[in-house]
Amino acid sequence: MKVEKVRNEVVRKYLRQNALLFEKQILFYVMASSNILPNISEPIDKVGHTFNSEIKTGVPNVVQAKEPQNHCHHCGEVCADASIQADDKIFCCEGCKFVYELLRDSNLCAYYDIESHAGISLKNVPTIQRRSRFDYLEDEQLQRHILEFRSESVAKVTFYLPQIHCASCLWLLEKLYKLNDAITASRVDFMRKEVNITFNPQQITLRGVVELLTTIGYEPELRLDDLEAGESTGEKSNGESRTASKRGVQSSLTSLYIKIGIAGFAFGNTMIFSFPEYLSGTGELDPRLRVFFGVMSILMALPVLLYSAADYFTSSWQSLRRGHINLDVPIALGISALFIRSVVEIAHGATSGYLDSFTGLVFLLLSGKLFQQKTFDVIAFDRDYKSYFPIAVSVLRGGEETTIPLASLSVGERLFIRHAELVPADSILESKRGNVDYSFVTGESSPVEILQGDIVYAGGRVIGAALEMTTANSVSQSYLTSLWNNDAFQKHRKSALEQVSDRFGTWFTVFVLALASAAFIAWMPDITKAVNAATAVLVIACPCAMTLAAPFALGWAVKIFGNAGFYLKNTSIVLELTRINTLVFDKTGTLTDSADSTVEFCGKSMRVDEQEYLAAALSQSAHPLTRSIAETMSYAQKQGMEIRNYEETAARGFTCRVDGHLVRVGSAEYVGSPLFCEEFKRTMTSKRSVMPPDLRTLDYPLHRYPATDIRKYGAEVHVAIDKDYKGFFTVKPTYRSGLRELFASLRKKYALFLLSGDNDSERERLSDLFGIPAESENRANENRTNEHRTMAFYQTPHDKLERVQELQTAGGHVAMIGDGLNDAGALKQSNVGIALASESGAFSPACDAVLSAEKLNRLADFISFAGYTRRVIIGAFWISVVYNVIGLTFAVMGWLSPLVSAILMPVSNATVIGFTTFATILGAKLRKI
Amino acid sequence: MSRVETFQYDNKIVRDFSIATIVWGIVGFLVGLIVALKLVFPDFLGFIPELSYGRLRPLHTNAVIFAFAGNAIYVGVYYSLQRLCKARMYSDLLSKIHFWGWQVIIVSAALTLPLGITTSKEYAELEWPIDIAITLVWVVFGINMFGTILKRREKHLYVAIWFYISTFLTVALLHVVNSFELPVNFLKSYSFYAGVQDALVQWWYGHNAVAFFLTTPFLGMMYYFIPKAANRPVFSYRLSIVHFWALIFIYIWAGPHHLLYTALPDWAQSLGTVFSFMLIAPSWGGMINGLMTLRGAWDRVREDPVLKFMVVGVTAYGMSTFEGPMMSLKNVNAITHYTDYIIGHVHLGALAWNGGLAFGVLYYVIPRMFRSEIYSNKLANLHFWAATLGIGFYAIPMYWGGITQSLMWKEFTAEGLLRYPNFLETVTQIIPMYALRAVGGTLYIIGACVGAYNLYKTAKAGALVANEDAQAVSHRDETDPQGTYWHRVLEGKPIQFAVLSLVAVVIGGVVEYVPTVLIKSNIPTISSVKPYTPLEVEGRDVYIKEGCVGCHSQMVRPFRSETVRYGEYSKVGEFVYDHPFLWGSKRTGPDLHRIGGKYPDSWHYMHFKNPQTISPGSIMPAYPWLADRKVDPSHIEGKIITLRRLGVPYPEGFEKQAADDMKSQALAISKRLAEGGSQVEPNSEMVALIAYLQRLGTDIKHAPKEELEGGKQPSTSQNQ
Amino acid sequence: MPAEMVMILVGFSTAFALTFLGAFIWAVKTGQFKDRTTPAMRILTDDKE
Repeated sequence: MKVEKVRNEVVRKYLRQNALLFEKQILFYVMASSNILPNISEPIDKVGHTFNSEIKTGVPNVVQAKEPQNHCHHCGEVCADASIQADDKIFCCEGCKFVYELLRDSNLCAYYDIESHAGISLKNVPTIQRRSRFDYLEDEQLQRHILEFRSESVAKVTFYLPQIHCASCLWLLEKLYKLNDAITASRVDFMRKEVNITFNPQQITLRGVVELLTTIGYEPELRLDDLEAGESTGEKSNGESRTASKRGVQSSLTSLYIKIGIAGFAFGNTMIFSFPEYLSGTGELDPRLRVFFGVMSILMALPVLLYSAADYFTSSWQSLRRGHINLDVPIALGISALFIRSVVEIAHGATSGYLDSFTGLVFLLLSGKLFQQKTFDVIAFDRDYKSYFPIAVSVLRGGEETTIPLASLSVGERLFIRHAELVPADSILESKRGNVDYSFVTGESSPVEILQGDIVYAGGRVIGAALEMTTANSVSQSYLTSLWNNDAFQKHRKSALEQVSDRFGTWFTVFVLALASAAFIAWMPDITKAVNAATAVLVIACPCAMTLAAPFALGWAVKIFGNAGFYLKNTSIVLELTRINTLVFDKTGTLTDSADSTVEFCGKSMRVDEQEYLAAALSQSAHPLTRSIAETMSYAQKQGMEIRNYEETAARGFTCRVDGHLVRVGSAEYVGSPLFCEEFKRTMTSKRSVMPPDLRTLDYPLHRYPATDIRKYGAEVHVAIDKDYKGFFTVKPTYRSGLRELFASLRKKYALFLLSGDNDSERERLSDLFGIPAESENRANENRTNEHRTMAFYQTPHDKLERVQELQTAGGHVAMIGDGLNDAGALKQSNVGIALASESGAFSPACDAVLSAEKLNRLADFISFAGYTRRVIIGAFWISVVYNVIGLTFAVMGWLSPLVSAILMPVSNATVIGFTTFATILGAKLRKI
Repeated sequence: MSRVETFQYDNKIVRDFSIATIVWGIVGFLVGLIVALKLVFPDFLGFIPELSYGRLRPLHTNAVIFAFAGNAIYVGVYYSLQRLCKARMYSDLLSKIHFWGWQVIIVSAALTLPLGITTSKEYAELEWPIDIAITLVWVVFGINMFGTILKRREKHLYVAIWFYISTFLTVALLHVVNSFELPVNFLKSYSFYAGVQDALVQWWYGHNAVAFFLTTPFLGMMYYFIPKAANRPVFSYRLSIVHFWALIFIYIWAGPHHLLYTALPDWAQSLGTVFSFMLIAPSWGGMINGLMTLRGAWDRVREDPVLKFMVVGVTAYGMSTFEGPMMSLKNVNAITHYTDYIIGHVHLGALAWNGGLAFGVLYYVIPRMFRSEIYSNKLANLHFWAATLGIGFYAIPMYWGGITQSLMWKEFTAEGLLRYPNFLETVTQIIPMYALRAVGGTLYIIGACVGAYNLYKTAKAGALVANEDAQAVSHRDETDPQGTYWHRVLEGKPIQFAVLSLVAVVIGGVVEYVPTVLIKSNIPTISSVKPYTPLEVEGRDVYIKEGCVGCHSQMVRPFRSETVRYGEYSKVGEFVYDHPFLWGSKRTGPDLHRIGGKYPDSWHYMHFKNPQTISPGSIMPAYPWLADRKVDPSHIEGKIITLRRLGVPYPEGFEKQAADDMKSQALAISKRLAEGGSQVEPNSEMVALIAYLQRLGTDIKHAPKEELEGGKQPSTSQNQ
Repeated sequence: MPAEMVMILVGFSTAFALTFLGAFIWAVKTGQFKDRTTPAMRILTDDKE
């Protein structure tokens, strides 16, 4: 929560500062990269930036060493030719060569001995925004965030370098002082791929350091969330920054380790002091020794009581002050009972006490805690920032528009963001002006106008004409996650199961306390036995097992889904999935794959300039159909066309002025009067003349197909330029693979529905997917209503939303599967909204889950796995129920020594965690998820 | 503000220790070979008292442990510590003092032990002046090590360093505690503790000496040199850290398992067993960690002698750390204890684990310090195979022989009589094994010599880089939290720090208070057990001097097989005046605790003159010189006083008459011998020794029944 | 009886073990064991200049 506040402040602040920042930038264009290595500024143009670390990370260089000569001496990539050389070593690119020479001149060539071809390739670097790339690092505000320590002469900073992959990296990065003696020390953490650098700010700026690292191929991955590190607190919360959470966890772990260390130490020793008691035959143990051992044990146990076990007391004390009882209460009671009792017995010289049980119990409890903590980190860590959504973004590389996975988007990339798409990373606007809606971030829905050179912050949503911008920051993944988890989009629904396990703790605790006192009273005259039984009860009762089952099983499930390309907003979604009985699908872009669809045009011939207007207009919209048409018309794409007052009516069409010409694209109703369109169609078909999509050929060969088919041929997109109706495109979609099997299996379990915004041309194909008997197809027109149940076309987003509501009121638990843009409403309304992510960057925070398109065919498995997870949880419940019943019975009977219960309790704890973990993973394996 | 610093590693000191390692190693091995041969040919070098078995055995153990292994440790530490700390050793002077001091100690040991100047406590035989010298030199080593650690430039303490630190601290403690002794004169002292106490301390020391002198430092070396040689990071650094702490916190308690079935209280023994067993986990963790480091590098192992030796070493470490806990199981121990099985066990450790790592390290450091290649890989291989084969030839016969003999000791006939009532039968049975063992030893020595030559040529091929240049950035700067660490803690966590310090203080107090309890409460539990007469005291010292304890135990265990063979099993109360205890750890000859009155004096006389005449085929060496050497009566007074100080209840002024008392008892014995037809001077060592032997274990005969119950222990029930 | 001896030894051992406990706490607090990977790799290149 706190973190989000911080985030908002940061963004607001920057929104205010924009103007200022802009001036700064101009300033820096001038004095760009003044204080780094000689002659760097030039090669930086070549070297530029890093791209996805996959290229090198984890690649065993040994392998490459064996390969023939034509490998780049620096990075080991195969060289096209031997044109680029230095010291008779060949290089794949100038960048690699430059780095080599740099290292050679600072005699750091051991870099290549430790691991051959250790370098990071510096080929195909986009040449854009060179100077300005690191400008933002000059900003005092940012620096204060990034630097861990700052004094006159010393500054410390930690960077995340995804490129770190081998011993050479380690060695080189710790020898930075040889490259620039303003850097006084650098230390690598290999696992975390981090380097901690100490430098003299008077001799080199932060920017200088970053540029130096970049030069040698290790560009730091700076994220805005790193900036929060300073402010965010230790405890984990979604959207908390990677570094912050890591540090928080670290510090809490440190003290936990020490507590365990002390407890373990005391355990070992008290055990020694107790062994004589256990091992010696009666009366054989020298009484003086008994006393001695007793005293020693107490001395050992004291730190455990006062330090190691402190948390249990504090937490239960607080809970009691707040007037309710938490799980730590019985434990606190148990251990104090053990301790007091032991001390008393030692005092009487009766025995040397049970302090070994006491210390042992604390030790095992804490170890259990650690295990729990560790397991949880594995899950949480993954959710936090490892799991990149399968969202793609459109980037312009050398003018060409290509879509790349968000994961591999790096700084300095030229983005092309369309209407209603999210800005994935903080970027600098390249287009003249544009409108961005920060409502996801700040809550203020009124769009902000942005001018060229301003910073556009991640999470902003482009309104109107598509914008070009250059990323100034790497994708802030955890930020997107936090955005996703923003309360505005939470559907607060805790499943019964979770609620049970939440409330359960309290009941159980009360029950245990009651039982303990009962046992005590029952045994009463025999004080030893009474205390013994009561203690045993308190100690052995293990509600943790029950409370842990759910979070762990769900945590694992989410992690597994994530790896399988199915990203859940939070754990409760898993259980939500199990309750689903109705599936609603969107058609275009969901069932169909707009990437490869056959497009044909039917209409008048157009002038070349008209075609260009059209192409420009088409490229603006993110709608699947439009995208695929734009695809086929890309030949007419022309740079620098001015797009103005762009307006899009979701699922209907859009209008905009291209160089002043009004272009209108969309459904028949949207573009012109439907009647006119019908008329037009008839005449066209009577003429039997249909144009191929390539409108350049004015005398086109006749392409014929029966008139009756036209309206069923495919989705239609009508076009009018300057009020003049030009005709319509027909887009014949291809369906995603494996749908048949998927629906076959889904039909058995769920009620299936289709809500499509397009015409019903696909009805035939779809009906057998949705298992509607053929004849109903023929009777289609008669009893529309009857099969309207299953399939609906010409649906506006609002229709879809209402339809979902309808189904819900009819008692359906609805899962909506659609694309993020046009179905946002429905996704939000449905019990589980699953946004399909393919090549479009449409990411709607409204959805509960993101499913990568090619995994759609696994949907059935995913849902069944969710069900399985639920069963696992229940299984775990039973395990611990059985354990507690048996354990408590024995305890009450007074058959259990505290030591035994001390061992059993954490064991059961670990068992449950182990079971859930194991069972969940196994289940996934079996389902090949 | 941290800056780049240039400095130099001290290779010269490493070179010196390397030479010492090789030289002393070969010497130690040779002495070992000699004693081994003496078991096959009892008369081999028999005529020279200084070279008798009893005197050479401790020389061998000391030479191998402290001279060979010791110097090897210093090679490893001085080489790796400098590089791990990115700093030169703290002080070149201290390094020199350490080196020469240690060599002087070794030489003095080599002189005193053959002369029979010994405390007779295993691995701690050296007399008090040398003990003090050892302490001093060890402290010098410590200062030098910690100095280096403190001025280190690398912030992180690599796990090897932790092992080194633990070695230093523990050995210091063990040595000091175990060496409490009261001097009689410059060359003679009596152990501060008596009987069971002495035994307890001795094996607490003995076990932990093995743990922290022969194990932890070598583990440290393993963790540095195996990764370096294989050029692979250790399999799991995490595991190595766990390995260290687990080892530290468990090892220290496992001592008592050396005393199973002795008069040590039952629970203390079981305690030893329990902890010895817990040790398997960390030990094997360590072994696996070491071996797994080489995964994917086995091709390298085939070429590189360094890795070869280390692999064998680590494997042997695994085997012996498995054997150890096994032998601490009471019923296993019942068979192996006192037999050659133990000898096999320790040599597996010493030859393979310590030897293997030592040579591995030498093969690693010498070429690097002399900037040269190993002179000949062929020779290196020869060395390796000779050593490995030697170890096999050594260990297997010992295991075999040990078990065989033990079973023979315990075998009964259907009539319930011992099948081999004559101990000698069980010895002659395994003499072939002794012969084989000598062969194994010879092989190992040949290997060592080849290695020495190879290393010499390697060094000759290059030139020593006495001071190796290095460069590093010091980790200290004002932003480093360490500086303010204590401050922060004290303000941050007052409670637990108060508690911890309190605990430390109190325990310290307890420790200081205990010794005062010790002396006064040390009263005999069996009234009939009396202090030794002056002559017997002298005789006992002869027994100690000649190292009889090396082959003869004085501890009859509560097994039927032993009570039938030797007589009543030994009671705690019988040893209250034994400074030091002489329980022994090996029965090459029979147990002697009940020897008193078993044979006439003349029998002993003949036997010492020439054992074979009395028991043909005996491998006990002859001690002809005992009859000629005289006991100097001037010492007895001091001895009596010292012993009284240690709590032996000699009446006031007794020291004055001690000499006369001694003379009269001696005369009686020599008269008796004369009647038997053998003329011995009454003041000869022979007479004194006989007096002692005849007294051994006899007091208990006139003890009242109920008192015996006091010294009783439960394990009597177990008949074996 | 060995009672006192046991006390001495236990005392020594414990006092001694405590020093190691101290060392352990120091090590954890100063983050000696925070990074459990890099040190193992670092020593491999310590002689490269």
